[in-house]
Amino acid sequence: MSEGLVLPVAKQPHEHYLNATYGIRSWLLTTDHKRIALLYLASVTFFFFIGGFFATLIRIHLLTPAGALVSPETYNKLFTMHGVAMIFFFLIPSIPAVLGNFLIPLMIGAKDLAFPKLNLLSWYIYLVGGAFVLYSFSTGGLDTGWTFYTPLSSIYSNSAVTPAVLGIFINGFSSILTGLNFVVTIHTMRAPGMTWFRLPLFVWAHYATSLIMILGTPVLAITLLLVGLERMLHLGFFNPALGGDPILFQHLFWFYSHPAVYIMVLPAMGVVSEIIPALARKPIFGYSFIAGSSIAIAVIGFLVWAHHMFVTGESTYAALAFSFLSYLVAIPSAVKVFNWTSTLYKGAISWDTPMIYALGFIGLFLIGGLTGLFLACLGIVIHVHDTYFVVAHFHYIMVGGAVMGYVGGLHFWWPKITGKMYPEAISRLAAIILFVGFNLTFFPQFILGYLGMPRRYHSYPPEFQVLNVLSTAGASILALGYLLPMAYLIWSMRYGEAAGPNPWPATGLEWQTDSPPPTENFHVTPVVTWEPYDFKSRPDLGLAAGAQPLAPAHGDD
Amino acid sequence: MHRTGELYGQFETLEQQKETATLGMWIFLVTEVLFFGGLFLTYTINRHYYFTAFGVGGNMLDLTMGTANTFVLIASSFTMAMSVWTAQTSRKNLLPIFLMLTLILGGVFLGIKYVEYKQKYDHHLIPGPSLILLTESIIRRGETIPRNSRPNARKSGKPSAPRTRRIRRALWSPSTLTHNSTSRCTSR
Repeated sequence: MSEGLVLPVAKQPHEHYLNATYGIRSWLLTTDHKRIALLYLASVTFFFFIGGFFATLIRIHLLTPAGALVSPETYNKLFTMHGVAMIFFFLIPSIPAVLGNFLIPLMIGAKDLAFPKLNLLSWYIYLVGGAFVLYSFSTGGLDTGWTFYTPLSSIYSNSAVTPAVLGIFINGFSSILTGLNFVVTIHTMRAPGMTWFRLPLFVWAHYATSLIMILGTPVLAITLLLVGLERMLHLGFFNPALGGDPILFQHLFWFYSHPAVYIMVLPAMGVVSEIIPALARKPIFGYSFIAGSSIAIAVIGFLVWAHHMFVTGESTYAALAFSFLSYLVAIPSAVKVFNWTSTLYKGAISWDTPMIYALGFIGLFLIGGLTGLFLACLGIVIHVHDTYFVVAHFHYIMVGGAVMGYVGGLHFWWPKITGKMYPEAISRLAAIILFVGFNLTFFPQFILGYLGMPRRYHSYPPEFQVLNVLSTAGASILALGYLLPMAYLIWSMRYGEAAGPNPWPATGLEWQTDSPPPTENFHVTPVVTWEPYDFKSRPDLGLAAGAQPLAPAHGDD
Repeated sequence: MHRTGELYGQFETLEQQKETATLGMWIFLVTEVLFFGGLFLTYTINRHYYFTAFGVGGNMLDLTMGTANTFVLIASSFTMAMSVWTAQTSRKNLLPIFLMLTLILGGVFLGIKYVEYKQKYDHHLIPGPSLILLTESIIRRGETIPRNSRPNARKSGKPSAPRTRRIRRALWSPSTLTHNSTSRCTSR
């Protein structure tokens, strides 16, 4: 909470969505988007720790050049299962299915998503898919790499590929239904006065994300199904020995899996676009450009997939086109970064925990994004392809970007979700630990990759040991940075201070209702008469004249 | 989501409810198009690569059965849609008729499928190792078939019956199968 701002002592409402009904059935059969979001929160956290466990083993193994812990075969399984658990079962559902699910109806002033039962169904589909993948992990593991390249995955691998691809196939429909639900909700469920250009940027980001989920995920689903059929029934789709085309698999796989990166990072950008104006107490700079850049990233993101295949011998002209289009993604991404920075300029910045995460996001996303340009460059990529440079790059985007946004967003909306504040001092410390640990883990990997250490190898030449030990040391700090929030957020659910409806205060509709909100979200359907992020004409926020200086919208004007 | 009927809790008006259901269905159809798009792309590319083999394979299909089956399938979709419509508009006497028609057409569909699949089964066209042998032999044969006997050769349109029979006989002959199974083992 910002200093100098006197708020009345907040109280919890008597009845809210958490205590409206009791019992396990009231949770497992709920159609309340807020409860489903919490179900997702529990299950993605579970998969996060499974993925994190494998990551820990990888980093311990790489402490010595010969490999300290496991056999080469087991090492292959470790990085594969780390990738599958983290990407398909944590990163992709994390922000959309937890924060998006909870917040989109609140932000647009609706009582629920358009299809509440479908929403619950997608959680159950997620669980069934997850069960298949856990079955694969526990009966022989998975050693193909998360990319499932054929014919390794369809013929030669001796690990449990079939249940894994079926699990991801099933899980895909959870993602598709969530995306469908969001798009329809945003189109048809907006409160009176909530026009498209009054939507919070978080909602715009989720609209773009949902488009990718709807258009990309079905292609991945059918592709993995074909891999499963090829493996089970020996049909020759991708196996060259049967006349199939392994490169075709790569095209189909990356058609989804490159846009999937934007499924992970776009919602995080939405989170940052909410935190920054609220905690800099200033309208966002260039609202329509940030909204439009989300859509632009989603659209261009569909046209860059073959930059993962520059060294497969694709035609020079195709490579040129994909290289150019990959550079093009940098433009809307940079638009966002510049606009966030301009919003901060001359803002009344309060150093609350979500702000530290948001600033961390900007810095790490910047590094991750710029190194992405190295990889889009046809000359440099030949040197760094399949090295730790690539590993570091996508971890800067996925962990430094998406996970920082997710944890920051959890803190920002924690008062709304639980009605309780998290402990301020320790959470700031945890945010800084996370930032330091992250950089120590992954920055050395840029250098390792540039020096030529290939990814997915279980051993390395002795001269790379110092950087690998640094990376492992960073990973242990990073682990602390995740365990701390986990501990104190759970603690705060019982012992935290009551937050009140709008502790920051922020301008969105979700802050107009109780914390935690009632089951029907709003006691009366809200009517929106103000522009987004407009602090000036909002006396209801409690920002009385003189309480906090309000910065003008565009710095000096 | 019914066109008529009660208002669900999350909506304000029936109009909004109807609009939501329609948009949801259209978006679902979009995802279906992309889902099968991946399959059709794989099919198209392979058809392009193995033009002859696809032609030879296509000539082995039973055109009459396939056409009849497609007709039965679409007709049953129609009768099912009609039964939903009669339920919505409370035409209680028509509803069981359309449901029975759907059921009968479903039975006919399964009957045709039985005959078709029986033929495939008799020719060992079952997914699994035996199919690999056939696929391999079709690919190999496809490369050696003289140009003018290709099924899709532009002039004739359709290959002459004796030629088709010859190709078919070569494909199914036990010597082809055993030959290929040994070569497959050594090639691994």
